[in-house]
Amino acid sequence: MNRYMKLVNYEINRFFKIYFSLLMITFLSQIAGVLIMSKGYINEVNRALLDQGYSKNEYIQHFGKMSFPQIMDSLWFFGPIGVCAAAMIFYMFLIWYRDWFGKNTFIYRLFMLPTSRLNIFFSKATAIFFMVLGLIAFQLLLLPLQNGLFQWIVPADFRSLMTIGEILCANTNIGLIIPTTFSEFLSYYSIGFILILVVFTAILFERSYRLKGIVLGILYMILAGAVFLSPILIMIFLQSNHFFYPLEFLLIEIGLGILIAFTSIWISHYLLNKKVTV
Amino acid sequence: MKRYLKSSLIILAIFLCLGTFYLKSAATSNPQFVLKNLSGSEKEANSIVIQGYYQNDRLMDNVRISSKGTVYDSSMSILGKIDKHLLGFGENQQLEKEYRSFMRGKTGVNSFYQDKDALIYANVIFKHSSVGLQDFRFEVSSIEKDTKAVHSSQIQPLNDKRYLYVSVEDIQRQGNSLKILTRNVADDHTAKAIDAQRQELHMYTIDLDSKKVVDDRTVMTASDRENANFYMLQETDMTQPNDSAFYYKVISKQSEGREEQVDGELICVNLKTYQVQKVAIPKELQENISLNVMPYYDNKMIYFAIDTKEGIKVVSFDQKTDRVVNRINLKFDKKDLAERFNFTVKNRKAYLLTSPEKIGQNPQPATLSVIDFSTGNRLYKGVITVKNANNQLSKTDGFISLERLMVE
Repeated sequence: MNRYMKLVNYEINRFFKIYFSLLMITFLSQIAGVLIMSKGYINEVNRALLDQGYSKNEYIQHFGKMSFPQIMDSLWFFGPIGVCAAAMIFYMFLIWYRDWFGKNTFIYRLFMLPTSRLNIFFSKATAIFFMVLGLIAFQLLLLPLQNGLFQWIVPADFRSLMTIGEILCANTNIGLIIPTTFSEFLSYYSIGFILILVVFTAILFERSYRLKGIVLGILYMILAGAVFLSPILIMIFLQSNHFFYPLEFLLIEIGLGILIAFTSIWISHYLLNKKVTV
Repeated sequence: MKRYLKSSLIILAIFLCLGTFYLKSAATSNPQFVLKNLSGSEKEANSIVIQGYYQNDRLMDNVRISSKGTVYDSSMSILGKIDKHLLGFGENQQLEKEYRSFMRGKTGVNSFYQDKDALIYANVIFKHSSVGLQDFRFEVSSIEKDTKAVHSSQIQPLNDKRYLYVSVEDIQRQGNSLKILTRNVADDHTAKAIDAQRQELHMYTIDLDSKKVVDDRTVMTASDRENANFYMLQETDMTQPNDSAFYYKVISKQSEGREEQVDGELICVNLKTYQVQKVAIPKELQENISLNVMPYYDNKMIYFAIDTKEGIKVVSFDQKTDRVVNRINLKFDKKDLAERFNFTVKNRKAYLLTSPEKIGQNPQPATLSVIDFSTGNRLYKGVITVKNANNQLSKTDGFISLERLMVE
């Protein structure tokens, strides 16, 4: 356990500089987005009121009020989230390959550690998972700040008042990243964690069998996806989207998720101990 | 210890931020509406569920209000959301409890028939063809109530005429034959507009022994060309044995971009004799049927709810004798009369809901009444208000609109 914690800490420290930059990019871009879009709206309102002779009420009737979700639709807001997501997906691969192709074949030293090789596998998965959750936590920290800034710039008459919960509901994209209920959060991010395990297994296939392994890895990912989606595929095939009762469906998916997770761990354990070459 | 600083920071942030967020949102940020009893027995309101939506700027969220409180879609757990996707409105919950295996994959209230011997299901299965129009077959399943024996078969219609769409409106068993009433939608080539459609009400008769369609009749038609359409009257229990189905046929007119009803008639389709007859209802009813508040039929009588200047008038009409049996006038205070009006009948009780367009931004509440048809007494009166003291959402620009009244 102790070794595993040390390894997780080690993996996080190794990526922290880039990770910190990702946080900064998000912070700066989103704050800039709030400032620019709010100021832009105010300027527009001023121009309309002064130059075109609209009254306050006429303007609101014609063009509507401004609301925070409008800012969230802009590239200022969503761009950095996309960058972070892309970086984390990229790092899922890099976290393994840097150990093979880095300055000195570091994986050699890792494998020589007096600990189970599966600990290395788990520590890498945990590190990625924590860093993703960390990004979500950071976004949740930023939202009230940004909303406060928005309310401070745009006068009360010109903006729709919404709570943070409502803001998150109003934007379907961010609803996927930060679901509104805890049970959904658990399901989404459990699927995410299983996905990390499946991709890691595919990477280990490649590291074990090289070119042939790439094919094996891709096949494994497709197979895992097909198994997980099989209840939905069955319903599509039967043309009956009410074939499963809800609780049944949920239990089957939980079962399949656990099955895929354990299969991935078991295969990775085998590959790490028997097949992987340095 | 300094070595662990960064990892500890990340983990601390995760627990603090996500923890606060989900603990706080579990307490729900959206306004809570309650059903407040003004007079009558609280018990009457227990089976009522009101569906609507909550809107605040760009946010749209479905909401269900009942005597238990308010449930928003966004605050539903993952199981609740799966429920919604897989069960739809959940109209057949009772049947699903009793015949779990038989009901698997079967939905739609109109597709079921039940008497003391059997539960029968009939639906339409489509086959997509290259021209876009579709071939279809009937899927008929039944379960015997005493032996639990299940029979299923797929049955071809008499001819292979193609339609854009076919949907089941009602099914009935009469002796050894099964009557399936369907709405068949076809392209109308005689009309000027390219996308004009023709609606046909078909009655298919299936012989349950030979599993063949023995008769196919078009009992009513309506086309876009004459701006006509027909709508089935809701039945309080779609599954019960029944000799007739009722339709409201409407002819409308486009004026200034809005549809306006010009003419409408109530039609009785006799499933035994195939007779199609106009029902002679009094003029006051005839002129006031609105497509938003359709009459109900419960196997004995047709129930109308009409919005008048003084309040709401609920009328029961016996179609066998062509006579109005009773009229109940519900006088409302001026402040109760509202922009929206919903009506449902169940167990010989009328459920009426009047509400303003935007509840929460409007000081006027929505009013719910339950009336007993046999005595004419109001069994319950209640209002829907925001849970906080001053009855105003006040904090945000959000409001609720009510759309559907259900009695479970």
